[in-house]
Amino acid sequence: MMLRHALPWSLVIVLAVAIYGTAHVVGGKKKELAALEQQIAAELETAHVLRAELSFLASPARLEELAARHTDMRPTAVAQIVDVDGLPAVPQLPLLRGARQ
Amino acid sequence: MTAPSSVKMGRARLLAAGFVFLCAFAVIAGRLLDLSMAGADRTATSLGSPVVGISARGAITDRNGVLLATNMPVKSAFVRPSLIRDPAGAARKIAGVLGSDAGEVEQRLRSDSEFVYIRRLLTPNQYAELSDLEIPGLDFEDEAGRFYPQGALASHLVGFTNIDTTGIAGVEKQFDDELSTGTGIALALDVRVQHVVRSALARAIERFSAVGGTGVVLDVDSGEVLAMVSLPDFHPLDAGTAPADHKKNNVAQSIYELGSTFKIFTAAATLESGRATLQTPYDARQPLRVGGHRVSDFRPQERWMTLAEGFMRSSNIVTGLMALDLGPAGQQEFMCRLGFFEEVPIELPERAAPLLPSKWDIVDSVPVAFGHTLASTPLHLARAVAAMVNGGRLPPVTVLRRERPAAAVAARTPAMPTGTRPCGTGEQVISPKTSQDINRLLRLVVVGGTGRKGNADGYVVGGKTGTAEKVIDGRYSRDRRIASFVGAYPMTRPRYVVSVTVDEPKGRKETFGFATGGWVAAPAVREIISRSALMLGIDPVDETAPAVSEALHIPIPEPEEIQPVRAQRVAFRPRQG
Repeated sequence: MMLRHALPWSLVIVLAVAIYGTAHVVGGKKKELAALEQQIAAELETAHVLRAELSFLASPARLEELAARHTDMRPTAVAQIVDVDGLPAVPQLPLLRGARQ
Repeated sequence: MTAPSSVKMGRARLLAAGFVFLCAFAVIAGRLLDLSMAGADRTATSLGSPVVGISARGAITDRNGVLLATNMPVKSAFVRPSLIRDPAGAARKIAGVLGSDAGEVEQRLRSDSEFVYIRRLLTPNQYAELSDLEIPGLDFEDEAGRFYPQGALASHLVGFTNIDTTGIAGVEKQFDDELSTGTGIALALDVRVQHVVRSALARAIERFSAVGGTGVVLDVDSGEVLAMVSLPDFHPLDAGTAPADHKKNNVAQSIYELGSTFKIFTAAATLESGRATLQTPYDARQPLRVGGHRVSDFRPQERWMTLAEGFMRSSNIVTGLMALDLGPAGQQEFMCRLGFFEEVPIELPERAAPLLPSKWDIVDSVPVAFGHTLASTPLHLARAVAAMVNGGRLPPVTVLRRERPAAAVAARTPAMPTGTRPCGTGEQVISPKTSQDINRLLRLVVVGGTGRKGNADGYVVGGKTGTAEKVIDGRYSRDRRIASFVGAYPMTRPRYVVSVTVDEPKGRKETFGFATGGWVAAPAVREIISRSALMLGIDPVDETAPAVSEALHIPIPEPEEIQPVRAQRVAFRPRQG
């Protein structure tokens, strides 16, 4: 008679423990998720800041000044721009002969 | 006591104890369930929403996605003066990073208060360098600020916000509703072209000791503003302290009498009306007398010349004769169609309507014909010239990158008060044939006329110079002028209008004392075109190739070949007395 009462109660207890266990695991995952989401937000903010910084560092005025200070580069002259038809073709032959000797 | 009874009693106790334990575990189980269920809700709420702030206001970018304005978690530098041990040394270091006055910083470091700002809204660089100094007492505070990575580069166009990041000027103000709900705005502007225009203009201003200037690059078909520079300018973060005249957008907001560049419109109206052709001769033997005024040429030729030659030499006499022939009604109707009777409907809060002559009869039509008495913004000029060269359609000017449906752009364009749009916009204002003639005339000016210094090799530039005397205290000043050049390229099929005005240039020895549009503004336009054409995808061509030179050529007959046929001036002689 006692067994008849104890069995459903025990079942309830076992189920309760199981549910608690699952909930505990889920809670842990949720904390993990929150941490990840915070990390994503932080990374997005960093990306946002870096993008602005890139815009600042790559501003034309700054690049021009750096190029003038560290390189010999100049604005492209019209004479430097040719299309394929404009490339010399024939006069290359004597050069090739010279290279073979 | 009997054994069976004690067994019975033991069983009863066991049962009672079991029941008690069962109840206890049931309570625990119930609580476990409760925790499992309710706990789920609690964890969910404790997660909170993602970080807000930096994306609260949309970013403004140029046509290629380069940031012009964005919200940033900004650092502000402050000090607790009581913790500073060596104020003079610290001030020197801090001022070195910020580029400010060391004495002024030191004063702050020696302040009696607990908390003093050194600089609010630092740039990322300044923050990095300041924190590297590791000065005890110097600390930083997080703020959400508006950041302008390009600095002063496009400050008039982009505008600025107040400390609450509400737009109060430029695009920041015009699109405040969109921006404040997080929507980004992509402008038609190209920062590279903007930089080229700004530096070329700054050079011209410096070279000729001018007080300011404007530069515009406009796509002649889409009406997109690729560059809009007004100098002097300001850094958006200093908007609070910058002088008002630095903050004024002279391109869209200031009106000038723009001078001879208006001769383009007089020639176009004349050609369009069919009253003359490029080869029609005009009598420029002597100055024109109209309504008691004497209209003479800068370099008098004292002979007959064709419309084309008069345009090439920027002859006031020939232009005046065209205006007399056209009549004031025809001129007014034409200028109205080109948008000179209204504000330019551009998406900027800073706009200005032209100032029309108070009286506009036949006598007054002559100064209007060469750009006096009618004052307009440089943007009006650029838009009207775009219509002259693009085949004849007045383009809708926009600061936005054109990719969205035209309807969306139209919806954002500020509505004009009714009654100020008597002639409509976006329509055919001249025929493609007249437009083609104008292109040839503009090319002629650069090849052989007053605009030779505007010729950027390989890009088939055409244009018109202008030198207007400024009105000072109601009178035209002899030495305070607006020098301008409005160009377009490539003239075989114009894609862009480039306009430069320089305010009050002074003559130089190497320019023989001249401070005219041809000497001052044309070289700036040449520099702008030769440095930016590649960025805009325009390939240079061989200008001597027959396909180019012959298509645009206008023959200029020798003076003795011109047949004097017209006698316009006779009709106006009686006015002289």
